[in-house]
Amino acid sequence: MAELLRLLSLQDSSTRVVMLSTASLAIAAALVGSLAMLRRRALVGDAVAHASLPGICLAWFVAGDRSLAVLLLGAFVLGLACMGTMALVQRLSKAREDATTAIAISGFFGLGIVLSRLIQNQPGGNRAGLDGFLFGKAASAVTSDAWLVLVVAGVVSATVLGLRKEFGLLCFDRAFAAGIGRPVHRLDALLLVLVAIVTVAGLPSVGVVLVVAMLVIPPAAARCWSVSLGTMLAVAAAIGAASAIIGTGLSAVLPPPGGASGGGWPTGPMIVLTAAALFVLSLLVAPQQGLLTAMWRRHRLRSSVQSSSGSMR
Amino acid sequence: MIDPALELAPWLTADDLWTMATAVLASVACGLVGCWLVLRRLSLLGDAISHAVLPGIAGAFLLTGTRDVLPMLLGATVIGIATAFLSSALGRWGRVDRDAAMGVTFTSLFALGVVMMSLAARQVDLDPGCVLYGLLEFVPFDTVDLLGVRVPRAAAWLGAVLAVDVVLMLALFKELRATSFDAAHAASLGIRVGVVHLGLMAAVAANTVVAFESVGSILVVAMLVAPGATARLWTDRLVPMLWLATAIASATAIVGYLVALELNTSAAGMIATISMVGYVGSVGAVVTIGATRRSSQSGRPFFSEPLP
Amino acid sequence: MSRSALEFHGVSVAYRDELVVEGVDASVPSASLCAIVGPNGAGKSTLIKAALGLVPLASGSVKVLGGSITAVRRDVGYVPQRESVDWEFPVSALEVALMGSYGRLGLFRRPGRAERAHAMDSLEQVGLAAFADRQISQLSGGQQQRVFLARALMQRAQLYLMDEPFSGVDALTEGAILRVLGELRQRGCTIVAVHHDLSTVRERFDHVLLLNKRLVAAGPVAATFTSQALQRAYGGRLAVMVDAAPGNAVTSAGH
Repeated sequence: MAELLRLLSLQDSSTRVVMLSTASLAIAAALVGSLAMLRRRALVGDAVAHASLPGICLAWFVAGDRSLAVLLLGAFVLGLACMGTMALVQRLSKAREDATTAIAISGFFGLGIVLSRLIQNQPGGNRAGLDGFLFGKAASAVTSDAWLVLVVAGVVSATVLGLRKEFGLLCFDRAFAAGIGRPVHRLDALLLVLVAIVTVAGLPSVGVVLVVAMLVIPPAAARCWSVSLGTMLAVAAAIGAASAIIGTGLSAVLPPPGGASGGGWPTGPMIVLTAAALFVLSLLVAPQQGLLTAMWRRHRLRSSVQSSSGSMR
Repeated sequence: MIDPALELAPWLTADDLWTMATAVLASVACGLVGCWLVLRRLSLLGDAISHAVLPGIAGAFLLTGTRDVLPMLLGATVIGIATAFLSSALGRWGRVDRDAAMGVTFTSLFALGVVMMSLAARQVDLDPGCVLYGLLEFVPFDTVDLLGVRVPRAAAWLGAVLAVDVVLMLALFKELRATSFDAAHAASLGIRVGVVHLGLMAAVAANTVVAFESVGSILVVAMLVAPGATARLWTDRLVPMLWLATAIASATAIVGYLVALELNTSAAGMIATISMVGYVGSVGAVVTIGATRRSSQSGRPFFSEPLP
Repeated sequence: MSRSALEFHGVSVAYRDELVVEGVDASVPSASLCAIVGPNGAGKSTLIKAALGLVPLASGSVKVLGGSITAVRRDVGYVPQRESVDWEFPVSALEVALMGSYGRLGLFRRPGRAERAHAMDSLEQVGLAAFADRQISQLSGGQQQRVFLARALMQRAQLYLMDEPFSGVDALTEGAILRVLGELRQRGCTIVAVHHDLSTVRERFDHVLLLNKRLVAAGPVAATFTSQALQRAYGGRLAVMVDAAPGNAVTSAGH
């Protein structure tokens, strides 16, 4: 308990930076994710995340460098390549978008597994560094990496907030936005690039498989609370930050499940589970559309219908 | 069956052939069920279910303490159906679109599964990584006796699942077709649309669980979606599509396995990669053929209309 | 059997926590062509779905062909709105028509030669025999609508419920559909259709239900389809002169 307090009060400087960077990344992801969800591109981030695995492997091959920045650059390049291929397939053929997304997710991940096995076969090749990307390990992040993530998250958030009006119009009525002369193609492309950036930046802490949760769950939760884009962005950012802080904190201070020898609680899943809990809470008690609220209203309606039809007879 | 094949391809061992046969069974079983997912625009639900079965498997393990297939199959099928149900319920109640609802459901369940696996890690080595990319190479080491022949356990299970799939599909062909095409009309005929949907979800979950042990939960998605989606590009008819998907599924599994053997890398990963290459290649081929046909008819050059 | 093909007794339907149909009491006589007319959101489609048992009733009951829908389902044909259909689905026009026979076939049973011949007949009736092998998305909107009519004909029903059968079709298709509906009524079938084009109600239908969540008026067109009733149904937003010049004065209102 004392440890948790120490962690949450951010007394330890390296913990402070790690926690700050994870939280700021969660905020950026929530902001970008809200727009992606409204633009019905919720799961594009998932394809990017899975495509980043072969990207990391290729960076390892090409650069022979294990610094996080280089590996993430490789992930970003392959993420963009993945989105480009998907867009091209969609444009050229009548193929179904959901099928294309699913195949991209699985196919790029398969390529990543193939490449990582090849790395393993090489002399001196060691997958330990790559395995960390599957499920994330924020708690052990290096301070310099944390600074990098912090800066990236800041830039992304600033971009979203700066172009809030334009993005809002794009999501709501693309044809109208084009009609009044907004560069809709470029805005669409920018949104996808932002998705790729936050996805890649989230890999070290949340991991390939779950990073899309940071893009999807906080906005979905915020949807329950808000009727306008502004409040939705604010609520999503708050829920994202809260999940990141609570999740990272829990995984750091809970006694490790596997005893001293086994690893600790996996950070990524703990963050995602915290976000999921906040989502369920939002779903139940949100004032406009909460499940409990709606059940109460429906109950009232049914009794009023029955009493009125009874009085008619 | 095995011996003549060995003579044809002497560089392969019997184990190689059994592994390949297992991959083909997994690919065909998933591919056939997956056709219906593709047709119903539920490809991503296949992705969601294959992620979400993790807590079902971990839960079955934590409860029974063994790695028996049956409890895991049961647990995973229940969670798989729950995923389908939760996704549609969230879509309706949370007013988020279907993709987002699925994203919320499967990431949450997958995270739960990883945490449960860390709990189980004290007792046995369940590697979450292996869950993701499978261990096709270890298939021949775990065999059962079937009518006097040593058959890999995975192949026996996959064969059984494939048989059930085929029987169900024959029994419900009309119902599947009618509900996928026009659910409102099918319901007016008295077809139980919900029951058909639930049955399909159960089949997807069962296929995923049985296949995932050998090919992993993410790569199983390629097996579910790619054959149907690729076949759909080439034909506008349902029955030819199902046959073509079967052929594509078998070919991908065989080619993927052989290439992986040559490069000494992950077979499951290579099969997924080949699936994607086949899909993108088919898109390119179909577009080129269509453009050639159009230009030879009207004398216009390729891609004369500006790309949107 | 009763003289009414379709009877609503105090029917209310709710979606989520909102009533979309409230206390409708109405009946449709046998062998009539009945239009359901009303503004957007008046619950027209919902009323049809309620008759088919596709949505739960909040209160009241529906009698179809004198009984409950589950007992007479085989004798009821349905043409849903175009949105419910997956146009990219790999089926040919003939296969769509064949789906009309699915309600009569059990598990494992496929449509046989007799069903195929009958499906071809149905396509012939709507003038699409030449297009039997086309994939459904390769047909024009009007042709697609006629394929759905053929599918309904395949059911050899006594009561046909149609959700906007004339939406988005050209004059040619309109004529073809009307001719088929006329033949059906001659044979004693009842047709109930959601209809949007007020200017054509009088010439095409002989019975009308005016709906705006509650029933506004119901009865033979000549007596029921009056400007006062329309004013009430559309809440006075409509300048109507139906009585003065039937057929041309009213322009589309509910779109």
